[in-house]
Amino acid sequence: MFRGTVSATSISMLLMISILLAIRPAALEAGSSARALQSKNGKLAAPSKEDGIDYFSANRKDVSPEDAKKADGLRIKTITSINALLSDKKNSRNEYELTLRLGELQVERADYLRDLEIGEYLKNHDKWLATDDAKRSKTPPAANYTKSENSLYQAAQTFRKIAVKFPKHPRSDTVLYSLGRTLSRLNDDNASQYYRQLIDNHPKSKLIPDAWLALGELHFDKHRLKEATSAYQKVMDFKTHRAYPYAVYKLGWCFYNNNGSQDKSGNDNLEKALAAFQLVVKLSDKQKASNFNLRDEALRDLVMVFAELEATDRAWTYFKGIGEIDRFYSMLERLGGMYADAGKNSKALDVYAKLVSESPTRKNNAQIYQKMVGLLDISNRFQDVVDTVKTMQGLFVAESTWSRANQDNAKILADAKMITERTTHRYGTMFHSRGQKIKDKKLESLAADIYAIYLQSFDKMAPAYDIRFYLADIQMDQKKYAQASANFIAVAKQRPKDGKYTKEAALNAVDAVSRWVQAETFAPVPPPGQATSPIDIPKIKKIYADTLDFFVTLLPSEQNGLSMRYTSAQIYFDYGQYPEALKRFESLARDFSSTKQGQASARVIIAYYNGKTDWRNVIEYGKKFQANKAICQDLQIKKFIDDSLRAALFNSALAYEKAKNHSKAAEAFLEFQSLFPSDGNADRALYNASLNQFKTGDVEKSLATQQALLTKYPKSQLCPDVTASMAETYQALAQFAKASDMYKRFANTYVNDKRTPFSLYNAAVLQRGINDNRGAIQSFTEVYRRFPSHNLATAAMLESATLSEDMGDLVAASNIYAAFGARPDVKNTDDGLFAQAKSIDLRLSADAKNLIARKDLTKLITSLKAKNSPNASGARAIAAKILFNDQESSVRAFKQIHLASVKDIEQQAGQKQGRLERLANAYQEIIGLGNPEFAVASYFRLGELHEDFAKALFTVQAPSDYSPKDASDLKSQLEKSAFPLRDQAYKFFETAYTQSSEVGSLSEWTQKTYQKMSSLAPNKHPEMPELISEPGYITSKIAISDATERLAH
Amino acid sequence: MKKEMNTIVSLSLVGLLTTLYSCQTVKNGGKVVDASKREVIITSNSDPRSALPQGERDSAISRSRQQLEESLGLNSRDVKALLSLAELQLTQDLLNEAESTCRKALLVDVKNTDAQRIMAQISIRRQNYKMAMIFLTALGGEDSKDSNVHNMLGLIAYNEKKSSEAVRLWKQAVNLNPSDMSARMNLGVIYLKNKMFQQAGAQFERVLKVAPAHQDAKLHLAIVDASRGNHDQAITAYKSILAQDSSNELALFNLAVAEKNSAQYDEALAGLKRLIKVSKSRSATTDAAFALIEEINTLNNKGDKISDDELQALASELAKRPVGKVLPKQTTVNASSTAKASADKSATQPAGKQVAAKKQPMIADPDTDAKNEASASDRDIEALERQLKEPAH
Repeated sequence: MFRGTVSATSISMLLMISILLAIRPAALEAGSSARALQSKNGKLAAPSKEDGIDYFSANRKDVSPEDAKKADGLRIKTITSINALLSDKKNSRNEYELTLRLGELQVERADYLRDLEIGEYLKNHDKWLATDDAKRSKTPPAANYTKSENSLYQAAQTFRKIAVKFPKHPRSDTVLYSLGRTLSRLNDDNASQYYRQLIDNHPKSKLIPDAWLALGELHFDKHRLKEATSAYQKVMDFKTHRAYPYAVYKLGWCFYNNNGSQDKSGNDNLEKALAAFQLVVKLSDKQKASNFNLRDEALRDLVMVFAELEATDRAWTYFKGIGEIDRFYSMLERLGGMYADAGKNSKALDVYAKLVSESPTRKNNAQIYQKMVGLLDISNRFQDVVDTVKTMQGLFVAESTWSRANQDNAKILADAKMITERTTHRYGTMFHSRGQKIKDKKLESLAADIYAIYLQSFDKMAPAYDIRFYLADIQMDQKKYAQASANFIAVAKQRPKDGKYTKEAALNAVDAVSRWVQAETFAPVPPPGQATSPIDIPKIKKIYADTLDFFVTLLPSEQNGLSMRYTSAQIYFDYGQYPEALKRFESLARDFSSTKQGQASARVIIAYYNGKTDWRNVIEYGKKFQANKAICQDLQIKKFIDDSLRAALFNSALAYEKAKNHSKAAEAFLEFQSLFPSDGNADRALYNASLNQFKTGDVEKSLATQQALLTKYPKSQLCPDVTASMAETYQALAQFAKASDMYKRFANTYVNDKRTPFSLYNAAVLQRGINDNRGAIQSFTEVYRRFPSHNLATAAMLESATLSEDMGDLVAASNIYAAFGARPDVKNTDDGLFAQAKSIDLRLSADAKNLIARKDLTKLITSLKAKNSPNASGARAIAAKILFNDQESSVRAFKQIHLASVKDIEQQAGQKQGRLERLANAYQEIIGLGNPEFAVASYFRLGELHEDFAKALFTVQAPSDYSPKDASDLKSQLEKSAFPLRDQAYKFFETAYTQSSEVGSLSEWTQKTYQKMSSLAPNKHPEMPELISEPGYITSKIAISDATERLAH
Repeated sequence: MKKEMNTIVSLSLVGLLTTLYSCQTVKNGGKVVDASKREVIITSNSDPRSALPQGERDSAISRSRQQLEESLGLNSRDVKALLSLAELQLTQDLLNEAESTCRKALLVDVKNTDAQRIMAQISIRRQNYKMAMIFLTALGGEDSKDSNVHNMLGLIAYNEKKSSEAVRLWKQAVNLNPSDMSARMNLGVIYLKNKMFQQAGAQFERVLKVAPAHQDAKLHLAIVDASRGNHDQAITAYKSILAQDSSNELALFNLAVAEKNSAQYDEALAGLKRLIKVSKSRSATTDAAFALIEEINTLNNKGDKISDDELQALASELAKRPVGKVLPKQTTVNASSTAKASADKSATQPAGKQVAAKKQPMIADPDTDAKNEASASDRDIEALERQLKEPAH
C-alpha cells in the first residue's frame, strides 16, 4: 500500500496507528486516490500519483530534518536570488532558465513543505491520541497542506509563465511535463492537456515515456482503468526507460482492479496482474534505489493475487523459487482472510492453522490466532476458543519460541500481547454474558477459564478488575468458595475507595468463606477461655477470620461489619488465641459499646480474666467498662461487671498482699472501698489498705486511711483496732499529742474494751511527755479510778502522785501516796512503802510536827528495819532524808555551842559532847536504814561535827590572866582532845568517801567529803580545782555509704 | 550565739575490745573505722567546753551531711540515709533539722529503733527528759540491750540530780558494750567530779585504748594525772589538746592550774589571760579564771604578771558581758530550723559582723584583737566559700 510523499518510516508508523485505533487520518486519506479503490473493491489500495511522483523523486529517505531544512534554506535563498535576477532586466537573456529553475525550486519546496506538513500532522495526531478521552476532541486533527499546495501553485504559475512566454523554447517539453505533473498533483485535469501537448508536439522528446506514464497515472487516479491501461502499455515501448518497471507495476494493478467478474475474464485479469507483478519483481533487480522498493511492493501484491486465485501450490513454488517464502505465508494469511470473508470458516481455519504451524515465529501470528479464535467461536467450537486463547497466552504473553524469535522487535511483542489481551477479554466476557443469558453453565465455566487465563497474564490491566469479579461470581456459582473468596477479596483490594465492586466484592468474599466454613466439619474446641495454649486455627476458619477482618478494615462503617468483628474475635477466642481475641473484643466493647456485640465483648473479657483469676485485668477492664454508660445500659452486664470488679479488687488486693506487694495491695483495697463504699467489706478494705500502707512505710497514708475508716464507718467492728493502731502509730512517730488524743478517744469510746486502761495509761504517759501535766494527772487518775483493780492502777496512782508533787499540789500528792500506801495489795511492797514514805514526807514538809505523820514515820521505819523487810530503797531514802533533815537543826545547834571561856569550857564541851552523842545515835539510826546517800551524808555530818568540835577546842582562847605556861598547858590539853577529834573527823570523812566510792553513791555529800578530806589532808587529797566537762556524751552511728565515706578517712 | 557541738569519730565496738581491735583502723585525729561493720560512730557532748572536735567545723561531717541531703533529694525514703543525716545533724547540734529528718525516717519505718534512739537523744539535748523517757521506754528502757539507751537513761538521771542512779546506768551501759565511749566518758567525768580519780582514770584509759586521739579522754586523764602529782605529764597533755583547739577553755584553765602547781606562774597567767579573752561570755569558767589569777598572784607575790589596771579593765569588760551558763547548752540552739536556712542566713548576714558583734575585747590589745578578728573572718569566709562552691540543693 502506497502513500504520497510520506517516508516509509512514517508510513509504517501511521499504518500501525491506524490499525491499532481503527482510525484513519482523514485528511491524509482525502489526498489519496487509493482509498477510493480500496473502498470500492475491498482490496489493497494501488499506488497513487503521488506515490509515483515519490517513486521518481530524489531519494529523501536518508536525509535528516536538519539537512532538509538546510537545503530548503538554500532553496529559498536561491529562489530569492532568482527573483532578484528576474527583476533585473540585465539578466533577461537568462529568464527562461531562471524561471524554469524557479519553478523546479518551487516544486521542491512543495515537496519539502509537504513533508513538514505531514510531520506536523502526525505530531498533532499523536498528541491527540495521547490526550484523555474526556478532554480529547471528537474530531481528530486534520492535515494541512496549504503551504505545500501554495508552493505547487506558485510552481504551476511559474511553469505556465514560461510555457506561455517561451513556447518555442528548445526545452519547452520540460516545461510542459513539469507543468502537467504539477497540475496533476493539484488534481487539475488540465494536466492531461499538457501531457498530450508534449506527446504530440515533442515526439522525440526524452520525456515521452514519462508523459505516457504521467498520463496513465492521471487516468488511474480518476478510475479510468482502460485509458490508464493504455497509457501504461505505451510506456512498455520504452523498455530501457526508467518508467518502464513502474508502468508495468501499475499495469498489474490495472488488471487486478479490473477482475470484478467471477468468470474466466476475471481470472485472466488476475493472471495478468500476476504476470505484471512477477515481471516487476524481475525488473526490479535493475532498479535504482528509491523512496520505496518496487520489488517489495510487487511481491506483496503477488500474495494478494495468489490468494485471489487460491493458487496455494503455485504460490509456494513461486515464492520458494525466488527465496521469498514469507510472501507465501502472507499469501496464506490473505487466503485465510478471504475464506473467512466468504464464510468458509473451516477452510479459513485450516489455512490459518497451516500458516501458524508452518511459520510459528511469524510476526503477525497473533493476528492470525485472533482470527482463528473468532472463526472458532463462529463455528461454536467454544472449548477450542479457550484452548486457542490459552495457546495465545503461551505464545504471546509468556516466553515462547515466538517471543524469542521476535525479541528484537519490541513493538511486535507488544502488539501481540495486546491482541492476546483483547481477545481473551472479549471472549471471556462474551462467553460469560452468553452463558448467563442462555443459562449455559458450561459456557460460563469456559468463560471462567478464559477469565483465569486473562488474570494470569493481564492482572495489571484495567479490565482485570471487572474480570476478576466476574470470575469470582462464576466460581461462587460453582461453589468454588475458596477461589471465589480470594478473587472477591482481590477485587475489593484492588480499588478499595472507588471500585464499583468494592462493597459487593467484600460482602461476597465473606459470604463465600462463610459457606465454605459451613460446608466443613471441625474438631471440637475447648470450653470458652480454657485453652491451655493457643490452638492452631483451622485453615478455613483462619481464612474466614481474615476475610471478616478484611471486610471490616475495608468498610469500617458498614453495619454488617459489627457482627463480623465479633465473629472474627470469637474464632480467635475459640482456639485459645486469647491475646488476639481479647484485643478484638476490647475494641468492640470500646467502639461499639451500645451494641449487643460491644456489651457481649465486655462480658467475654471480664469472664475470661475472671476465669484466669487475673484480677489486675478484671479490675482494669471492669473499671473501664463500668465507666462506660453505654455498656452498662444492659443491667445484666452491669451487674456482672460490678460483681466481677468487686471480687477482683478484693482478691487482687489479697493477692498483692500475699505477694508482699503492699503498695499495690493498698491501692487495690482503697479502690475497692472507693468503688463500693457500701459493700459489707468496705471497712475491711480500708483497714487492709491501711495495714498495707503501713507495711510499705507510707505511714501517713496509713493513718489517713484509718482515719477515713473511723469517719466513714464509725460503727465498724474494726474501729477499736483502728483507733488503737492509730494511737500506737502516732506514738511511734513521736506525734505524742495525737497519740494521746487517740488513746483517750479509744478509752472514751470503747469503755469496755480490755485495752481501755492501757490506752488511758498510755495517754497519760504521753501527756506527761509533752508537758501536759494536768492532762496526764487527769488520765492517770482516770485509770485508777475507772479500773481500780487493774494492774496499771497502782502505777497510775504513783505517776499521778509524782506529777501532782511536781506541779506543787502537795496535798493531792500526799493523799494519793497515802491512798496508794494503804492499798492492801501494795502496802508492804517497795512501792507501797515508798508511797507511805512520800506521804509522810509531804505531810511533814507542810507541818514538821504533824503527829500522825510522825507516827506513821515511826511505823514505817519499824517496818523498814524489821527482819526480812523489803529492799524499799525509795522508802529508805525518804525516811533517811527525813531523819537526816530532822538532825540538821541539832547540827546547827551543836555548831553554835562555842567553847568561849575556860571557865565554862567543861560545861560547854559537855553540852557539845552530849549533842554529839545524840547526833551520832541519830546518824547511826539513819545509817541503819541502809540508804547509801544519807549514810554518806551521815558520815559526813559526823566528820563535820567532830571537826567542829576539834576546831572549837583548837580555838579556845586562854584567859588573859593566864600565864603563858598556863595558857600553853591549856592549849596543849585541849589539843589532846582536839587532835583525836580531828582525826576522827577525817576518819568519818574517809569512811564517807570510801563508802560512797564502794557503793557507787555519788552525791553532793561525796564532793563535800572530798573537800573536807582535802582540807584536812591536802597532800593526800589535793584540792584539784581543775574544770571538768559535764556528763552529756552521746553516741551517733553513721552507716558508711558513698555520701559518708569521707568520715572513714 | 550558736552552740557548738564537740564530736569525735570513733568505731562502734560491740563486744570484746580484743575482738574488735582485729578489724579496726585507727586514723589520725581519733577516727577509727571498722570496715567490717561499715559503721562510723561519732561521740558528741553538749558541753561546749569539751575538747572533742567540733562537729560543725568538721568538714568531713559537713560534706557528708550535704551529700546525704543531695542523696535524699533523689530518694527521700532512704531510711538509712535519713538516719545517717539525722545523726550528723545531731552531732552538729542542728536539733530541729535532726528531728525533722528523724521524723521522715519514722514515716518510712515507723518501728525504726535507731530513729527512736535519735529522737531520744534530741530530747535529751533539749532537756526534755520526760519526752526522752517515752522514747527510751519504747526502746526497752533498762531492759534494752543497747548501751546507748542506758547511757541516755544515765544522762536523764544525772540531770535529775540522781548521780548514783546515773552511775549505775552508765555502768550497765559499759557492761553491755565495753566500747561505749560515751557511757565511759560520762562515767569517767562523774567520777572525776566526785574526785574518784582512780575510777575515772580507768574509764578514760579504756576510752583511749579504743580511740587514742580522743581529746576529751586525754583532757580528763590529764586531770587524773595531775591528781597523782604528774603535773608535767598533765601539762603536755593539755598543750597537745590546745594544739588542736587553742581556745579550749578547759584545757587552758587546767593547764594554768598545772602550771601553777609547777610554779610556772607566768605561763599560767598568760594562759588564763587568753582564756578570758576567748571566753564569749562571763561564766563559771571565767570566774574560776579570775580566782586562779588572784591565787597565782598571791603565790607569785609579784602581781606584775597582770596588773591591777589590767585586771580591773578585764573585770570591767567582763561585767559588761551577759551572764552565761555552761549548761544547759541547748539554750543557744541555732535559730535556723534547717541547714539550708542556716546557710541562707549566713549568706545574708556577714559572718565577720556577726562575730564582731559577739566579741567584746576585754583587754585592749588591738593587735591581738585584730588577729582574732581576722582569724574569725577568715574562717567564715572560707565556710562561705565552701558553701558557695558546693552544688546547690
